[in-house]
Amino acid sequence: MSNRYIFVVAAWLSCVSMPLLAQTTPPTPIATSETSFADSGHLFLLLIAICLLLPIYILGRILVMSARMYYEKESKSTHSNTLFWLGWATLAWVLPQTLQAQTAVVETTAQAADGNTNWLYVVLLSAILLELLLIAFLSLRVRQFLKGTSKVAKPSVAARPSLQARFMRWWAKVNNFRSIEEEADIDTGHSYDGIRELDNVTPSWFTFAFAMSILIAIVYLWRYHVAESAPLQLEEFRMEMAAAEEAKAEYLKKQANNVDENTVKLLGEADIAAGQKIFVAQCAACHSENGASKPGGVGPNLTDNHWLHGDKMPDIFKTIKYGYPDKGMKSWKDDFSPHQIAQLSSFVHSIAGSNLSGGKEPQGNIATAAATPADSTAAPADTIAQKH
Amino acid sequence: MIEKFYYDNKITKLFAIACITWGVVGMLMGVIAAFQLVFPALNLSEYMPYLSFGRLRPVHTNAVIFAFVGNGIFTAVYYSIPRLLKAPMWSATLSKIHFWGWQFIIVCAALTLLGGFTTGKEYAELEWPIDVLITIVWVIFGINMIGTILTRRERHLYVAIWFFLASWVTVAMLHIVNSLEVPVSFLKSYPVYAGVQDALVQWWYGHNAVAFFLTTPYLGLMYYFLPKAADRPVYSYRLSIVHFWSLIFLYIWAGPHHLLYTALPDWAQSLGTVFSIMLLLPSWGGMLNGLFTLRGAWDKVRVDPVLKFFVVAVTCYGMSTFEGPMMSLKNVNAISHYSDWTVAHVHRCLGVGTDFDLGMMYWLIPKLFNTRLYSKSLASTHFWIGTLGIILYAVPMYWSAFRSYFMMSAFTPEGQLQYQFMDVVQTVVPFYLLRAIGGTLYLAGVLVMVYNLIKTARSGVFSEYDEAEAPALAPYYVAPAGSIWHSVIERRPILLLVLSLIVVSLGGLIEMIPTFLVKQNIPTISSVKPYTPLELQGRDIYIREGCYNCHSQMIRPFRYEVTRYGDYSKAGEFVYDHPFQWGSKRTGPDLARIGGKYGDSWHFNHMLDPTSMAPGSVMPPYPSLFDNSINVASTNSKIHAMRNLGVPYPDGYEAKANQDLEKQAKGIADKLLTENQIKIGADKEIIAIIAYLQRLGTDIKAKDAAASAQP
Repeated sequence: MSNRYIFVVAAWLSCVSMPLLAQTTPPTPIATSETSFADSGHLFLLLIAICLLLPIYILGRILVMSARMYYEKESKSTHSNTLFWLGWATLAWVLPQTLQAQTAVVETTAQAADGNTNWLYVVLLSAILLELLLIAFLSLRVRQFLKGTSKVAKPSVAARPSLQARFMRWWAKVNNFRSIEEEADIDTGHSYDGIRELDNVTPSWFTFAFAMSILIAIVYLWRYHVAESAPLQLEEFRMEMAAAEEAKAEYLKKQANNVDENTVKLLGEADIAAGQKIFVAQCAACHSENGASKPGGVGPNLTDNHWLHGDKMPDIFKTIKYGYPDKGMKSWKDDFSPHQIAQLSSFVHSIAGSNLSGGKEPQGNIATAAATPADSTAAPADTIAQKH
Repeated sequence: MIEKFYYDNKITKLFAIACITWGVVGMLMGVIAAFQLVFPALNLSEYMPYLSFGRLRPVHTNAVIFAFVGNGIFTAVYYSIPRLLKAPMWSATLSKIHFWGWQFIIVCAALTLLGGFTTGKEYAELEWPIDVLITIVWVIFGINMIGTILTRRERHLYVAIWFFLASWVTVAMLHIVNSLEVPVSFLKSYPVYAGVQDALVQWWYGHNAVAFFLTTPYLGLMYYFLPKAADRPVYSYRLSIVHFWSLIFLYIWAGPHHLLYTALPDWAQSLGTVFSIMLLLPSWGGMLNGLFTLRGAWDKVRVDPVLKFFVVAVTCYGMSTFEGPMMSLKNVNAISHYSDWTVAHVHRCLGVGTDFDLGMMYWLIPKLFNTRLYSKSLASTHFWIGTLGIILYAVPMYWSAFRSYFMMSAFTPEGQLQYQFMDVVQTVVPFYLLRAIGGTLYLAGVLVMVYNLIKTARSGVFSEYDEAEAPALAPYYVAPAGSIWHSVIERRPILLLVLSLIVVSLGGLIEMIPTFLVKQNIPTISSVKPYTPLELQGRDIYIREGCYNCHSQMIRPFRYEVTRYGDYSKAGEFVYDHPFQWGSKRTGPDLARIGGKYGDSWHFNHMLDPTSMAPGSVMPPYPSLFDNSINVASTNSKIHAMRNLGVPYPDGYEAKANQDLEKQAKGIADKLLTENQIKIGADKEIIAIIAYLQRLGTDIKAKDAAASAQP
């Protein structure tokens, strides 16, 4: 009886898990594009996935019918049949759903963008794999039931060896073990300080796997260096950079983020506050938290009227973006987005001329037009400095 | 005629004591170093430069590998070889010279490493006089071992001895080839190889030090002590033959897997990968032969602490040798290289050697003292504390490796790096704390063992000699009909030795010769020039302080590395780097293109107090650089040695070098004074290190800047 319970539970699990597994949607593509398939490989896989649905459906029907036949013949045992039938009813109910869910997966993947080529492959392949597993499972059960109808006598449960014993037998078989009683036959007769040596054969899986690993090695070298069909590291790098560049351009097209030194404008208070936040976190090491640096400090005082590289928004923007590495200012263009650099520039612009005490002595030229803000929308420099 | 002879137990005892003592010391160093990464104040840099992480970590690695594991190998060899050959060691005097010579080397190694005398090549840090000493002692060990083999009373050599012999000859080859260096002064030398070539030789050595110092001798140890402790016959003689030869042949090729995605030529990298894949099964051959030998003795494993340690060691060996080839796959290595994953991997591997060592000690000490183990339950306690320690060590390291990978490689949609390097450091520091606690636990377990073994020794009587008798070998031997072909090699030790040497030298030769001779492998870059004398001095300070322990100088061709650190590194950039300083772990950021990224004053403040420029940094401060003067007296011989190695300094430049050095130093000091009001003598070491750091990676940058004007 216990066998049957295990079977029912397994049936339940497989039924319930199938739609769950199948419904695992692929990650939302970063940029949704109209193209549905990157290449014909995807289409081919999709076709296979759809074709496989048919045998699953047919097998499911056959299974339900054969199961009904089987249990009608074996109607002597009545108890626990309800549970069993419940299991099969669930399967019958869940199967169409599974099919639906899988089609859904296939459809969602169909919408994935080119950038997700690999994901698409993985999802399609795993869908196919799941389908194949399901087919194997269903056909196994069908076979069992059909067998059962001709031969009603079931093997007795008690006669089956325990799981552990079965595992041990399997283990001995795959490793080509000889029983310990036969040990004398394979003794080499060696005895080194009392250590004897047997001459067991090498497990066949070991030999096979070793041969396989050599084969893999040959194929690997062939692919990379003879056929040159796989990318070596610099080729891989170029591909990665190109993809990143494309994704970035695609993103920026949709964002109001593509500000540069030619288009930058002084931003409003909220952005200045955001700039200040970045400044305190990232710039304070050299310029101090208030921007005044300190006597002998690394960076120049940003609160005086003197400028090394220009006081206009575009100048400040450029200084932050490209840096002046020879003077110790690094380029921040890979650390901050253009918008963030604009925020930072606005903040720096806002504190200029506030002349905080305790700062570094002035460096560079006095700003030519320091008194007049570059942009009419900006608040006067000192009002913001007071909030400091 | 039956001859009577005696096995010397005294030498075994000495090596065992040394092994355990250095083991405790080495692990303690590791624990301290681990805590330093969490609490930088433990570097005690304000008081002295000797205990900073960069100097302590090599002491830890060298102590554990060469002192602890090394003495463990010798314990096993000196105990098992005489018994397997029915002959006492060939010369008791050589045994003693070997023992005391090795301990002297260890003491010298510890002192010089703490003193900052290092070649800057990982696991081969010791300077040339110690390298010479190692060679001498190693040869003495070899003579003693081979002498014993030649005077044996057993016709055939047992598999354990094949492993010992192959290990001996390979380690000799590795050590000599990798340590070829030109002495500059008594404790300073430059390796003859530079850049890519130095990297290839170094990791050929580094990988095979793991193979032939940490693995094959321990397989030899396993083949003796495991069947002894389990009282079972070795599972398969033919598996021994297959996995012995395949293992030593394949191992030697796999070194380049430490250099995947670097400037090493692609073909060499691919060889490293495929040979690592092929290495899996031969390694598992050892595991299978060990585990299957225990067939029919598994009931004993549950109660016997010796077997418990052996079983864990063998299974860990199987797991590590699976993980190793996986980490050699390019896409996995992209994550694991430079990360804590490698650290976790190597500590689990070493856990194998350690567990073999400890298992052997639990078996051997009661034997030597004719008694029983003082407490099985203490041994069991040790086992569980140790296991817990390894888990607590490894799990946080894996975690931190993946977290830092995902943080490092994260981009915002705008195409900017999402995290600063410091964000990553801050994230992983808590994991470092857990790791340090795990290491402490492991050490605590070992201390429990020390107590247990001392109690055991006290309770017994040490027998200095074991008596044995056996007939001498007959001068002529006719092999019985049908004996296997391999038995011919087993009764000809010199043939075995020579064959092993041929087998292990093939891989190295095929990988190195083209890298050295074919110019295409390292395309020259015309803008790359030799270091100025000041930069050279700075570089030697960089090496002295062990900066390479935390900082790499090799930018891999990945978007997230190129964006963070600058253009990927090219082979031609390192042609004057004797030694190469690519590093193997990034606790701090890569420095290959640090030159020009920050101003001089940034470096000045950063070396004085790293947290002032990089809040949250765990780098130790280096106040001594601000007090010490540059050793200008050495400039002459350094330039001379470099020119002998092929660095194109003009003839007679030695005489002018110090003028150039002073001029460049004055320029830096003056600039610090005028621009930042920093007063520092131009003769201080900090000036040299700033000069070196500002030079790094700029040779190519200068060319690029000229080519593409700023938009």
